[in-house]
Amino acid sequence: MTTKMSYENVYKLYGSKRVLNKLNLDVEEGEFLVILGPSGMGKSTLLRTTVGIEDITAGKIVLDGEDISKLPPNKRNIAMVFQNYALYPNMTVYQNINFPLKMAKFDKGEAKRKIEAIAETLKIGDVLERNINQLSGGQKQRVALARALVRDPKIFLLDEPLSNLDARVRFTARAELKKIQKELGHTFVYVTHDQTEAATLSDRVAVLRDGGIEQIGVYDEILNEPKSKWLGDFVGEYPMNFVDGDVLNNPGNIIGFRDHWTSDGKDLTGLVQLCTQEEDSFHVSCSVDGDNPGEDQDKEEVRPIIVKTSKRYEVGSKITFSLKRYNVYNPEGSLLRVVK
Amino acid sequence: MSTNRGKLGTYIAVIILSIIFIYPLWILIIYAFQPAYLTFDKLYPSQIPLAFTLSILVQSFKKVDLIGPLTRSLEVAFMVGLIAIGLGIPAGYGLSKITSKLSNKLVVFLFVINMMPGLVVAIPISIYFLHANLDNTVFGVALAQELVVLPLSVFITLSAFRSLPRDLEHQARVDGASLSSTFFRILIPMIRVPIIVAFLLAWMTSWDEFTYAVIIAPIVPTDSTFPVTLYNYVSRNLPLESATFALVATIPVIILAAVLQKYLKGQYLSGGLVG
Repeated sequence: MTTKMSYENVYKLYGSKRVLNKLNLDVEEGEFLVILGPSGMGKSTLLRTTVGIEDITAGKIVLDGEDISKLPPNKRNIAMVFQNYALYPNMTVYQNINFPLKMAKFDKGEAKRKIEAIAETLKIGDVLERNINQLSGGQKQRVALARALVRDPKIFLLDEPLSNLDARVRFTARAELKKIQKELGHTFVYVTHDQTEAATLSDRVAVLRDGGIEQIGVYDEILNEPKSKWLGDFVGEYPMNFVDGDVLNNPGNIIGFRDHWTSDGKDLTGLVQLCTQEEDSFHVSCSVDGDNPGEDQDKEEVRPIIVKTSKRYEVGSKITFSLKRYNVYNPEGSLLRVVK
Repeated sequence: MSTNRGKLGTYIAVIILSIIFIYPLWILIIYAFQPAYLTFDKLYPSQIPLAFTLSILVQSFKKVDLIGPLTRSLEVAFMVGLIAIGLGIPAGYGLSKITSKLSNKLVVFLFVINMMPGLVVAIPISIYFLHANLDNTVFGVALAQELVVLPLSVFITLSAFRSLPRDLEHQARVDGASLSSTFFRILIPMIRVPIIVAFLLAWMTSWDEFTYAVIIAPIVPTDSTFPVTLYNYVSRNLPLESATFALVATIPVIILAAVLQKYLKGQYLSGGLVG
């Protein structure tokens, strides 16, 4: 794999606030990279500086070996789909898709062929002559995508393009997006806060925290071996369980494990606080013996441990379990080792 | 039931408003197209036309030069309209880029000139224009009238630019458009309605603007604008001619409004963005 685009020590400051803080990231050729992060961590800023509608304060963005960080947006040859799609309301669907081609001074006949081909791929061939306000949300999303795909930019940026669709449409749109990316072999950088999108769409995931990359890798790797407590908390359907104190012979350190990593055994015992049924399994919230939050107790509410079990527990009863695998974190919250 | 009553109320209101707006025009028509013995010579002229004649119109046109002031007024009005949007659009765009706190203050500042009596401003200007050889010229009158119309057109275009979603401009840039193509191909078409409104307002303001016109271009009667000429006839006690000219004066406004009204439909901006 070759590197398509790389960010080298990129900073973006709003006043004294560092929105991008010494960000380093390599995007590989042809990959579907998902930038995942909670809101306010600089995800959109990252895209907006990449595409050039905002300038970076320091650092370099290199695309195909060329430093593009000083170029105006129209010279960067990067396509972007905005979260709100930003379709031109005074143009038809055809004119919208044609606009980038017109700006690139494409021959009219060739432009027509390209537009019809992309419309075919995205199944919007029958709405080409419509006005934008006659389209459904899903169609608008496709038109925005078509407008980005129609010319051959070096890289595609997508800013939460599915967040405005209703659940059912989003599901199919997600599958199509992935299919199109694989078929055309384009490099996609996709920003989202949605775990499911990150899990299903990505080749790799980069988790953004406070304007820097916290961890980059395959989604499962980040899910199972998060490099920090914060990541364990953020990534995954449920946050990772953390047990302080002297358990499993790890004095002074913190044990982290996912709810489904438990097995029958007696290594850990706990007091059941709540038990909820989920299809064929149960989620048990409990407090674990040996869990010694220490001085943290005053600062934040102690979160119960959540484990998956096959049988129902009464509230107030005792639960014992062992761990198939777990991660050990130091008190500062960074990963020390993985125990399998 | 209640919606029907509401509709009836609306119709009545519309009819009353129409009468208020159309009645002055109706009087003009009665005076212009009927012989004088039916209108001007009577104490209470009939409101329903009883006879029809073109002779008053023909005589008025023969007696005085109408075409001169009309042309002059048209020239001035179009020039005022074009300058208003030509300066208003860039000004509005620029102001939309700075913080609204600052731009609002600047716009209020622009309106200061309109808070003063026109004469107070017009007289010093006319002296300056004399030196600059701008007196008695179409351009001079148009420039002076810009004082009245420009703040409003800046205000209109500023509001229009502010209402445009920033992302559309960004999207155009990303799609490969240069700054000028973004401006002329994306932004301007999207605010064409406010631009037309600004043009129309400027045009109509100029069309019946009197103070600046009479002070900047007063000397040769045939060279002055239509309102000034009309004022001359009224002051010379020629009511029939005045009525005819007043009627003629309304025609260009009606034509212009009719031509431009198809652009003045709403809802043209909806649907481009989601969420």
